[in-house]
This record gives sequence, structure tokens and C-alpha cells, in this order.
Amino acid sequence: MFEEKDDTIMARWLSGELTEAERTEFEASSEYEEYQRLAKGLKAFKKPDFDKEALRERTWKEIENQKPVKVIRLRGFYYAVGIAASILVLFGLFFSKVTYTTTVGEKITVALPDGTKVSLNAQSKLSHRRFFWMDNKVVSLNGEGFFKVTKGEGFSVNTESGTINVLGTEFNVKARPSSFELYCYEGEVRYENDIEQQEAYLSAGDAVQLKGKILLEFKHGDTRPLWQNGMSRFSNTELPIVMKELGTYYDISFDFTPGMIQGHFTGTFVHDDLEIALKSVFVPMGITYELSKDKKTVFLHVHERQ
Amino acid sequence: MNQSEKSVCDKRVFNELFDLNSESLRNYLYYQCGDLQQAEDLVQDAFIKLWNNCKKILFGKARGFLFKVAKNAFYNQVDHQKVVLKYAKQSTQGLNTETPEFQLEEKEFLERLQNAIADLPEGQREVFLLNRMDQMTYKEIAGFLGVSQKAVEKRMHKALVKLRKTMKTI
Repeated sequence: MFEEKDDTIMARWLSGELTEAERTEFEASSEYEEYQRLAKGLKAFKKPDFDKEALRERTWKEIENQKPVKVIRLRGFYYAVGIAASILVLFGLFFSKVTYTTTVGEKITVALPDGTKVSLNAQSKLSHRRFFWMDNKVVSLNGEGFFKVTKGEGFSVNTESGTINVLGTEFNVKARPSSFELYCYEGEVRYENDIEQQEAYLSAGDAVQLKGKILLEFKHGDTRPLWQNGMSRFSNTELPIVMKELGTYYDISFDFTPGMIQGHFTGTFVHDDLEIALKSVFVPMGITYELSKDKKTVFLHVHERQ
Repeated sequence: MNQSEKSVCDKRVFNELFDLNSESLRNYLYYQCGDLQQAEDLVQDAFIKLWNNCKKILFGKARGFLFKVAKNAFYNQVDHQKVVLKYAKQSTQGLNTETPEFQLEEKEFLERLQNAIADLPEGQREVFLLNRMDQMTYKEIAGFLGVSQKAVEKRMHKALVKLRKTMKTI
């Protein structure tokens, strides 16, 4: 049969691609009539109606309703956030810090992973790395702390005024914005300040103090810092520093005429009674004071000297 | 403007693509599923996908993209089933007929023919109808479906032979 000549011949017949010889042969074949009828019948069919504009309108409406570009960008954004969060978590694991802080009048004692005990005075902050700290025993101190360091290699305290390196020992560091003091009670410590090129070795009974940029070395006869007994002691200390120290233990502020408050204070004040503390500082200085009703403000008046 | 420089993201270009492709795409899908509503929904989805990816698709590749997307979407639809084509009922007009008997006979013939077409295997049916109804050449259909022209001609040939045999045996 003609339709079996090859596997595309009827397709070529329908599209008018038969050769002259093929067409002659086809017209003589038995199935010619049937194909003619078929082709004629097919012409009667019509493709289905299509309302292009309606579909176009619908499509645009859908496009405008979905905000596609934003969705794609957000997905990328979330990936970025996810990666960033993962990195943060990793950083957090390796570089997170343990921090202890005390507020006005608060004192705490903490134990470090190596057994070292640190008593933190009021308004102080101590921090160290959370992980792998034993490999590099460094703590940062801002304020005042009394250290009882467990014997072992390498322990150091970083302060804004320098670094204290120790082997097992007991010492007190006071590293506040206005003052720096280091008292050694047991063993040996080394103080160094790279910026000011200062260095000091302290044994039990030795102490150093920064007066401005000058490092003063002196002896002390204490076995533990006085603040541990609830007191502050001063020796010829400028009054503004003493007042600042009062503010460390009591939640108070001072009201006075600038320039009028002068002098140096020698003596002590207690940490647990504001009235007594104020009396012990200002009476010897010849300054009258008044405490406000809410006990937050202290008004100072200087007597005219006759 | 060079064809390849046209941005699909340009609304006018996008509308032009809609003019060129929406009907043949709809019909192609219709010839497969027999459901006009489903076919138009798939066309709409395909054009939305085109718009969402307009930066990545060159103007010249848009037609191929539309067909690929529509085809995939169609195969993903669960209610993929053999369907009855209804289009033939619209169209017995245009036949110049001599007698009522002939008219009746002709109508009957067309009904049988439309059933025979509906019964064609899917691959043959879509090729056959794209060629007959949408006047697409074998080459165009091949490009459309991503197959060789020879493959299209084979399907076309098979469809014709099958139709003739079906019409004869009934």
C-alpha cells in the first residue's frame, strides 16, 4: 500500500510535499479516496474560540497581584540572614564572654574556672572569654577587685592603666577612670603599662598608685583590702576623687558651686551608712552638707574663711 | 531594534509575546487536556512565570520557555486524563451540500471523525491538531515541542493512517 512506502509519506502528502511521481502513484492507490474524504472533512473543523484580550487582562492582573521580584529577592535575603546568623552563632561560641558587673554599693565574689577567687567592689566589671579560657588566663577589669589567684602558669589582669601578671598570689586592683592602685598581699605580681613604659614588681606589702602619669611605689601593712571590711581609706587624696568614691557606694549626687570644693582628704568612710560616711568626710574638711529628703542629693556649702 | 536586544521585562515586548504565543499555547494545551478552562489557566501561569523570569530570558527564547513551562505544568497536574474534544460541534458550516441525505451523512462523518481524533494517542493528537487547526508547519511544531522535524512528520503520518483506518472500519 502507498501509505506504507515510508514512515512520513502521509505527512508529506498533507503538507503538499510529495514529488510528482509519488503523487501519481498515490492517486492510483486504493486508499486515495478515503484520504481525500478525510482531508475534506478536516477542513470543516474550526479551532476553538479564544478571547485573547480577556486572558491577557487576567494574566496582567495576576502578575500585579503577586509582586514576584520581591519574593525572589527576599529568598536570597533570608539565605544571607541565615548564613550571617550561623556565623554569629559560631563567633558567639568561640568568642563569647562571661561578664560580672556590680552597681553602686554592690559587692560580689566570683570564682573563675581555675579556682581563682575575685571579690568585685562596687561599680566594677570583670570579664573573660567563655571558652578556652584555661589556655590563656586573661581577665579584663574595670573598677576594683581583690584577687586570690590559684597557683599556676600565666594569669593576668588587663586594665585601662596597664596589665598585671601573676603567679599564685593575692592582690587588689583598683582601676577606675580617676585612679589606679595596686596592692599586693601575698606572692608576687608584675605591673606593666606599655603605653607609659612603666613597670613594677610587687611583693607582699608593696603597693603602687598612679598619680596622673606618675607611678608611686609605697608600702602598706594590710593583709586584705580595706573595702573588704566595708571601708574606704584615703591618704591626702583630692576631695573630688573622694566624692566620686562616695558615689561608688551610695546612689547620690552632689550639688555645689564648682571651684569652691578644694582640699585633700585623709581618713576613711564606711560603705553601709550614708549619714556616717558623709559626716566622716565633710566635717573634718570644714564643709557643711545637707541631704535631700529622698537621700539622693547632697548640698555642699563652704564656710567663708575669716 | 534587534530581536535579541528586546527585553522581555518591557511591558510592550511582553504584550507582543502574548499576541504571538498565547493562542497557539492555549490550543496546544487544549489539544492535550480537552479542557479550555484548564488550558487557559496554564497559559496564564506560563506567562506569569515568563514575567517573573523576564531578566533571564531572551526574547528569542521566550516561546520555547512558554511551551516548556506549560508542558511541565500540565504534566504536574493530577487530573491528567483522557478527554473528549468538543470543538467539532461548532463547525459544520461552510460545507456546500446537495441533499438533506448528504447533509446528514456528512454530519455523521464529521462526528465520527472528531471522535477518531479524540481517540488518537496524545503525542499524535497534539501534532495533528497544531498542524491542522493552528496552521503550524511541521518545523514550527518541532521547535515547539523540542523534537526533530522528522519525529513530527512520523507522528503526523501515523495519525493520518490511524484516522483513515478508524473511519473505514466503523
